[in-house]
Amino acid sequence: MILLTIERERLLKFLNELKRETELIVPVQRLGGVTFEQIEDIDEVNLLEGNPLSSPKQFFFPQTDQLFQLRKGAFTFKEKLKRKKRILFGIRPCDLAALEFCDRFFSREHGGYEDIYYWIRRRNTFLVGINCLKAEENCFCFLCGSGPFARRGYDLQLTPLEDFYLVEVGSSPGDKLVSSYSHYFSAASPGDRREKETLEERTKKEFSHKIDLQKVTNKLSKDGFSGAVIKNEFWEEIGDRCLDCGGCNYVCPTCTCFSILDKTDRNIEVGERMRIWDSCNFSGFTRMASGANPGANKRDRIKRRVFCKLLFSQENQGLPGCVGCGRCLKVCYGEIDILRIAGEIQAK
Amino acid sequence: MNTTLTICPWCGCGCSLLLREREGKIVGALPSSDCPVSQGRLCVKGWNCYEYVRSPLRLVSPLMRKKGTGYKKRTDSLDDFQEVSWGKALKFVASKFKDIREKKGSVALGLLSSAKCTNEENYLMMKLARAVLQTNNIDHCARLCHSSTVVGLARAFGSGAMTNSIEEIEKAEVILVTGSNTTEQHPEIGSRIIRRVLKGAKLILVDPRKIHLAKFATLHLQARPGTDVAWINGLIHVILKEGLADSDFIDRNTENFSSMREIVEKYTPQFVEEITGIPAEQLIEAARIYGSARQAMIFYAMGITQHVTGTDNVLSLANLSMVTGHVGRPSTGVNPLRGQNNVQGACDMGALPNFLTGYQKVEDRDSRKKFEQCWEVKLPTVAGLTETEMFVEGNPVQALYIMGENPLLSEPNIGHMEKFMKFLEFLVVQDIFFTETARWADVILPGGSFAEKDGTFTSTERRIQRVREVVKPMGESQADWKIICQLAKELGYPMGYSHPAQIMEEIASLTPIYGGVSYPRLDKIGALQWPCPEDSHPGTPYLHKGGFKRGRGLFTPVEYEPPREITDEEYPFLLTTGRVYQQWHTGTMSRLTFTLHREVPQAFVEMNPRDGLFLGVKNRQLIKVISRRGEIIAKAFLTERVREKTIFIPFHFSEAAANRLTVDSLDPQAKIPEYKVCAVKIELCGENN
Repeated sequence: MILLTIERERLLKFLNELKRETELIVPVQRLGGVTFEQIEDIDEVNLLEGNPLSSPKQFFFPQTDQLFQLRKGAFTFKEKLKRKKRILFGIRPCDLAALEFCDRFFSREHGGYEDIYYWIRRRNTFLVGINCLKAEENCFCFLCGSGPFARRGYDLQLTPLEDFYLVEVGSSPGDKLVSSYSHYFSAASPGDRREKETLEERTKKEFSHKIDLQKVTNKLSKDGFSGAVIKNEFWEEIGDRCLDCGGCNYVCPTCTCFSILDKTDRNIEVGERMRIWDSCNFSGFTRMASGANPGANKRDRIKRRVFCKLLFSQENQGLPGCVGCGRCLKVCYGEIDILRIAGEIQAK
Repeated sequence: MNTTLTICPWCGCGCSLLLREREGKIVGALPSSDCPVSQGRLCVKGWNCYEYVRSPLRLVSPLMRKKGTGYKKRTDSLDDFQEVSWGKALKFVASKFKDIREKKGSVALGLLSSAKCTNEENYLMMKLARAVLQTNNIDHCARLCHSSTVVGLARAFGSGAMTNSIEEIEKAEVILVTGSNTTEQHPEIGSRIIRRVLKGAKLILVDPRKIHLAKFATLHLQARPGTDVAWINGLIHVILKEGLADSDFIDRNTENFSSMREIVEKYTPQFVEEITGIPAEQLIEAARIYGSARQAMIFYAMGITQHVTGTDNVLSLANLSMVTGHVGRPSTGVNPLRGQNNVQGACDMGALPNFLTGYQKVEDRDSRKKFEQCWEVKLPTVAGLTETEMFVEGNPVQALYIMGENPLLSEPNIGHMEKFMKFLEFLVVQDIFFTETARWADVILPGGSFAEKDGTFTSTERRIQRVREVVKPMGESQADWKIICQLAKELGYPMGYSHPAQIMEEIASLTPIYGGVSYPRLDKIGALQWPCPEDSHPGTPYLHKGGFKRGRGLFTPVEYEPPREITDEEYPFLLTTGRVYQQWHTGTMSRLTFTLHREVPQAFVEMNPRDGLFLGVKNRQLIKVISRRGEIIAKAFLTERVREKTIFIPFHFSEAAANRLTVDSLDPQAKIPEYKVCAVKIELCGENN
């Protein structure tokens, strides 16, 4: 593996130069919170405030996405696909793992179909990750095997050291880029590598949870929906606290469910086909035309979500469906905490 | 992609959120983690607040009714209208207003402002009415939701707003919720109540329906609709009897206690049980819990206000809080939950027939003089008509200008409303969609949605916050404040504002409670809670600290009176109306939002399974609900949420409009209609229905 370093000051200059050729998306502090934004001013880059509440998922699979427009008459369809090159900078290891999950979900091999709308954006996006030196309040990536340091999934990966960054190259586009801009980088020393390893070990110690998610997965797999070990009352109590906001799905970097809808004008002359994020916490998610609904009560919906995250995703995509970013804890009205749920299941 | 901080357009909680714009469209919403109200959370409506903004069904051009297309009749087709320029539309509106005013005087003009619009827009609408059209006939939908609160709390305490703040729930020991389906209608507040209860606070719920909060309630008193004064008097009775009253507080801070005490004397738990159906022992327990708490908060909404005794109900809650001294301190108080995003602001801005801004009385000469000097015009001196009075036969209003409101679905007894519309000589509707009301209009002016304008909203806790333009107005539509300015100019009174910030400067200069509010301050610190009289004032989280606004809190003796229409042999079911979580009011916006509409796409009738069995009604079967005023057909939903002989129908759905059934009797003081109680009968529909 190629290992380089770049000074802090020079990193910003490097980004500034890249910005001239391509869209640059970074975490910034805006009025109201930290979000990933396309920036014009390089000084807006903010890597200090923790991970944004909205995950990078939105850049590949937006909350609302127009797929095509249609026009009555000859019925013309106009696809809205763009191949703009972008750099997504400052993505955290949990979100890199989540993107790997999404890659599988939207690919023929694991998901059953190749989602062109996802891939056109994904293939044109260069990912620069950054390792975490601190576990934020709700973080548990370490338990999910997705952090605090990334192993794969990036084009370039940064680790903040004293006053410079260690740069790992994770792909051939990454290799190409650092070669083209080699004057910004220096070769890393063996000491830098050891320093990174020390930091990783130190950060891991910040995670004090005593939960083995693999054991939880095994337990769910064994119990299935039988309710033998994990009783209905367990899910009932959690379901009562759910206020159907859908927030956990919306902020989840691995939630990939969507709905399709058509919008037309009053005379049905022109229209557009949209896809929007859906939520398995909504009653309408599984309600059938007759009104019958396998997910009519919240108990069953919450149960399905936990099974999806901790078991089905493993079975279907071969990857954990929860990457430990902790966003769903932050947005929940009812303090529904997937980690606590996992802990309680493990203890059963 | 651009991200802009703004305020949620649905309920009165006032959650900040971020909207993401790309290529002129809004593509996503997310909560603001910095917002002290939402703290990084949103309800399903907040997450889905933007879809209707670019709906292809938006009104995007001024429209005038074509000649010979059913003048004074409802039309369901936009083909009966022709697109015209702004100039032509506004000239026409101005000439009609002038004409009617000349012939029939200013009393013939009526304006309905909008609790969905910004403070600045409400202020201008109010100014247009008073300064330009010389009428005090201006009101808005607060008449239909919390007018009894404004009257009742102003009389008891001296201020008609929520006394305390949302944040204070975190320290409340006891929470009494009545007539508020809080988790569905104010989800942010409802969720805080749940989280507080999970940490050990006690929740007393008084509601005819087993709403979601019932699962968390220490006690759920399932009172019969319309019996609120009885159980509140009952609580006070027990509190006095058991020595739980705060006599120090009563002596120091209140007046008229003894006459109130006399009245509650006869409201023994047994007497109250007869009226309300609340078991006597539950009432006693509730009184002990509320009475012995150090810090207890009362939250209420339409279940209290929308009765012919709405003002009495509010006064009773004020009595209850004063008797125990649960007011004027943090985590106490009487807290009306305001329904619309800016209904508090619309009231504050004087979109009311008897108040200028900040509750300065129209009939007070000094207040008027201040406005006359600033506006350089003489103002009408007598209070105007309320919204509900403008729709009564024989009232002088001949021309109506309705901005962002849909009374043809939201007013009670719609059948009567439709008849009344035919008497109206001229109707202008300014809206973003072709609403049930716009269908009667002579001129339709396309306004701007919340995401297409700058301004401020004031939330239920008196929190003034900035609303920001995210996208440009769609088509030819314009921000409502701009439309009002242009119309004022056509009427010969130029309003030369170039940005809402200037309007706020004028508001602040005329309104003591908004005196310290300015855009630079709001942009810097995020929000201010009124009263905020000057630039250095930090705002006021809770009211009546160290004494009531009016001096001493006023106890009012209130006797129980039954609802106007009670059940009988012919109409044996009691109908109560309300809302559901995922729809919003008359549905003009929420029904165009895929996720929201999918959750509850049609009207339903909640009915107790035992009534279903008795009538032979199965779940999801279509039934006909008939009142003395109208009838509708909707699906039955058999559920224990309602008591026997009580049914519930949400009012969002025009095709099965609950307000065809409701009664238009008014509270004599606040003129609020009794949406919450009327008598109905139920018939089965034939196979083919």
